[in-house]
Amino acid sequence: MRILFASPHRDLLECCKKLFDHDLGETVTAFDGTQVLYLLAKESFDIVILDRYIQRVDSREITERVHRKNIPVVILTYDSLSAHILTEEPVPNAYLPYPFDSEKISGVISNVLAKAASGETLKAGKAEIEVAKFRIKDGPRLTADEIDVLKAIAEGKSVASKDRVFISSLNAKLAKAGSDTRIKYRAKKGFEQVTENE
Amino acid sequence: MNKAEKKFRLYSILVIFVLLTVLLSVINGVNFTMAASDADEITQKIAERQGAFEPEEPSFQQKGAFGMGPMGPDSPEMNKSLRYFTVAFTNKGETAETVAFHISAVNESEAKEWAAGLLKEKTGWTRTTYRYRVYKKNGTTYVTVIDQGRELLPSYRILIISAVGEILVLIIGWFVLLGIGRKIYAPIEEADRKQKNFIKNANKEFRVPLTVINGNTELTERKYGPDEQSRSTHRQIAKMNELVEKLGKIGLFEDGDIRPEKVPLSEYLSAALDSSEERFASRNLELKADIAPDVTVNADPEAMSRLTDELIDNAVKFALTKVSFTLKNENGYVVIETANDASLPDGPADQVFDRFTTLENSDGTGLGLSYVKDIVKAHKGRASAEVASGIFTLRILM
Repeated sequence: MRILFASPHRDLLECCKKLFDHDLGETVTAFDGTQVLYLLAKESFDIVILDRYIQRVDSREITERVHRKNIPVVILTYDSLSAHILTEEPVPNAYLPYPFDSEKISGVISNVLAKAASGETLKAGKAEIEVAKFRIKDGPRLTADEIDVLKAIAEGKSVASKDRVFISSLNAKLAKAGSDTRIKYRAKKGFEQVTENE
Repeated sequence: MNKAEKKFRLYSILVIFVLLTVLLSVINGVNFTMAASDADEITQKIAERQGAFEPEEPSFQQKGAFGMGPMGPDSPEMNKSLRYFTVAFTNKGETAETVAFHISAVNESEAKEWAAGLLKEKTGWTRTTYRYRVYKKNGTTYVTVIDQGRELLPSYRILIISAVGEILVLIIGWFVLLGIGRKIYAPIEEADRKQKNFIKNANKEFRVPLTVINGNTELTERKYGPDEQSRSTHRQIAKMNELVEKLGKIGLFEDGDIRPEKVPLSEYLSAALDSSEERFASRNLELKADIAPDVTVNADPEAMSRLTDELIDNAVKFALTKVSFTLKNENGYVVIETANDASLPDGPADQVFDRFTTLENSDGTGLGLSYVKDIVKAHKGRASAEVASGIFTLRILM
């Protein structure tokens, strides 16, 4: 596996390269946006891990370009996740807030790559979620965490407190896709998919 | 304009109003009392002369106070300018005789009728500006009524000027306080804003180094194997991560950065409590929930989700043996109440909402409830806390 890891923090690049080389696969580092674009044009990667505040080229522009190459992208953020961040366009395949450890980032990368290789489709009412494409069919993109939450709800599993932030963003994205399905909490039952007027 | 500035202006204007009212009341009160006293002096002189007013005629050379010549009842002009009448009553009030009549406002018969109505009194004001005195001498009752209208006119003018002046001072004071309030509170707001920005920036600045420290510790462990030092480093990193996570929430919903919609708060709180059952159980806390069904609030759904989480987090951390959650509609407000036993002294405990402030015996960061307050404030709600009989109660109105 080849990873492109881009961050303006050189110590972080050095440290993560050593960890990823050992745990995940060959890791190429870049410390600004132009380097990222240059490497993307020149080499092939299985996944891109990108600092939200990468310099010289906006991370949103890079994300769009990476999407066009059908390469999954994970954005490293400096803020806790909120519906505001999760609904911002373009939507990456996953967000990972700093600080993280090797186990956490490995988990995120594995999850994203597994989904990208998956042929699975999920249903949210009439809306169809193409897991490999990380998007609601004819609708907005979803992150890996949002897909996991949606899947857990579909399977009747409980949603962890820390994951409830994804409910808000999922509902916003379902609405944007024109779906009348929403995720709501039912007493004693937990979160469920319901049609809007239900 | 923030709440503290509003309070400052309101209290300041209230203090100015009270001080001015007291001052002007004293001035006007003394003024009217002196007018009454002057009138009483005159009626006393008339009483001593059985209805006549014939002061000894002082010469113009006679000097009174401040060298201005005699004033008031002792003025040589008083005899000419005094407007009064005296009615003498004999035979237990059956016969009335006018013994002095120097007034144009009434005729003699009206004066007798007027005086008869005052027979049972002693002294005081009648028909607003007339001063009377009732006195007895040798079996005859004399009623003297003097017109003080002209003498009272300046007093009434001062009263009106005082009232208008007070209103003007209050209006001008309000605008002056606007400027002063801004000047006083602008640096405070600025300091608060800088503190928040510093926290936000520091929070961001901490995140990457923490990741690097953690990563390098892992690399060292891989090379040399984990030891007590590396484990200790991981524990401290975990603590720092938790703190960074909390600091990251500061200011998240401030500055109107909320997206309100109809939030089913009953569902939110029930969901949060259901998913936290294990946490309560792990601390052997008795949990009681009284959640009214279908309570909704117009709020940011994510903020409400975080609010319920923080309340639960706080209760799990600080309760001794039991916790209760109540959600209800009350007088048009949505009320969220949490109560838990705590070893704290009785009294108001609103300081728990201050950033980095913790109550006695607490090892918290002082951030959780300040975050709750931020969310409530962003939604124009109110939050209060108090300890009574060993129960810490947190009440939120939205």
